[in-house]
Amino acid sequence: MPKVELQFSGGLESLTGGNKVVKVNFSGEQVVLEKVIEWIRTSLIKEKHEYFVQGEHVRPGILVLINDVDWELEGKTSYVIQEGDCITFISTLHGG
Amino acid sequence: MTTKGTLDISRYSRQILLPQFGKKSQELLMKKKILIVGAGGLGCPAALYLAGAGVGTLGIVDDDQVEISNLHRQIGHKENLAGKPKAESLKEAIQNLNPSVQVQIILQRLTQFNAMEIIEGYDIVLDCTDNALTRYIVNDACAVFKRPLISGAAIGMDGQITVYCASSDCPCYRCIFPEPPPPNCVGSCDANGVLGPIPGVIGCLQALESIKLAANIDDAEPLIGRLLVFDGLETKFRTFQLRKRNPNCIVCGDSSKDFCIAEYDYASFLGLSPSFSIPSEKRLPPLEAKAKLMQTNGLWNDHYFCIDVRPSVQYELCHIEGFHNIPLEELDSKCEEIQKQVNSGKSIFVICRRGNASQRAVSLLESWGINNVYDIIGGIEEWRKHCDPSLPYY
Repeated sequence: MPKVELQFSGGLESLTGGNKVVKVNFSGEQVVLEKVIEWIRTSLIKEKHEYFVQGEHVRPGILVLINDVDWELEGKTSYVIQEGDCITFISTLHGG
Repeated sequence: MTTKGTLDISRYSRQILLPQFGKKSQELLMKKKILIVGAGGLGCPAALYLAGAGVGTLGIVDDDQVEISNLHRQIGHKENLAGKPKAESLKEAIQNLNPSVQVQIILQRLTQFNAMEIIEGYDIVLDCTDNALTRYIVNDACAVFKRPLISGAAIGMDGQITVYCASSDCPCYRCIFPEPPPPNCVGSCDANGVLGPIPGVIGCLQALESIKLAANIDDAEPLIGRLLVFDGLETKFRTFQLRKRNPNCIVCGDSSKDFCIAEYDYASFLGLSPSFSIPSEKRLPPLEAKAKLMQTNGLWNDHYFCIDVRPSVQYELCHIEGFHNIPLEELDSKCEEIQKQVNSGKSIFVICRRGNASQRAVSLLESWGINNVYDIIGGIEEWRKHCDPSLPYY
């Protein structure tokens, strides 16, 4: 039952009712990040899903970080969630 | 005053006194050429701090003019220069601050056709732009020339900064974002708003990172391979570790030699469709629209139902009396209400900020079978010019 902290930044917090931090317990032993993303998509985000996903994948322009490290370095969606992990979703900004 | 080429000790004494900086860093800095792409909220503070520090040459690329609505954040410009090119205005501010800095201005938008020529002559480039297209173009040129790219961005209460293309395993923008965001997910300061100090903070950090690289400061750790995220609402800074350079990247990868910026299809890559337009018989200039909407006695003609499809924040900022606010993305949910108005015999007029969203709205309403629906050309901005100058420009 890993307990993880989900963080949303760069405007993505508007999809979670303005919550920048969401804490959640996942049931099961081997919860992979893909399941976490599916849960965010189906249970956490109520509308404008297209700002978070394209199909089932995190949309281009969003960086995913596992404990402050780019998920590319941690196995992306197949990463197995550990107790106390912090998963951050950051939408890249373009304004200047 | 000192003669050209000699070190102005008193001007730079406070930074030369820093043990990590010293005379050697000052002399290095004065030999460097740094290019700032975008003379806006990021480019202004970055340019001023770099000028103060004594960078040898500053280049400024911008094709835009100073507007009053820029001044709360673009602090290099002055009110009396409104309407003047931003690059010229910023050049003036730089020269007032430090006349020994050489300033080269390029009064053009950076495009895939001029980027190589412009960027090649500089040691370091700052991305201070405000759109995804130019960000990819700046990146691609820096990747080709292997120029360190100090990339800043700000919107709302959030800022981000990192350094690309600065070493053999340092990623470029495309390594991190090989696919661009969908166009509807890209915000802008014009549309979404921004608090002035947010780009101020990021622009200052861009100047700092540039100085660290240009002056080769001892023990410095530039933001290479790290992304700094600034949350201005909670006043928090965090840095995240980014992936390394992608060997398969099309612009900086191991077999990217054939990449040609001028030939690359940026419009398809970014999904930029040519601007949306509906047939001209469905569009009315503001004066003609007003003549229909207002009766000769000055009263509103109730044969029309008028919709303002801008976001509600903008509607609250200013609107034309008699227009109902239904933001574009809420049109679907208000279908019934609109149909009811049509069934009672009314025609529909749609307005937005500049005349793009309203055309999309007209097209959407037509797809529901509504035929008596018209777009007001040029939106609130044109209405202001032709019908009601008391509406604020924002």
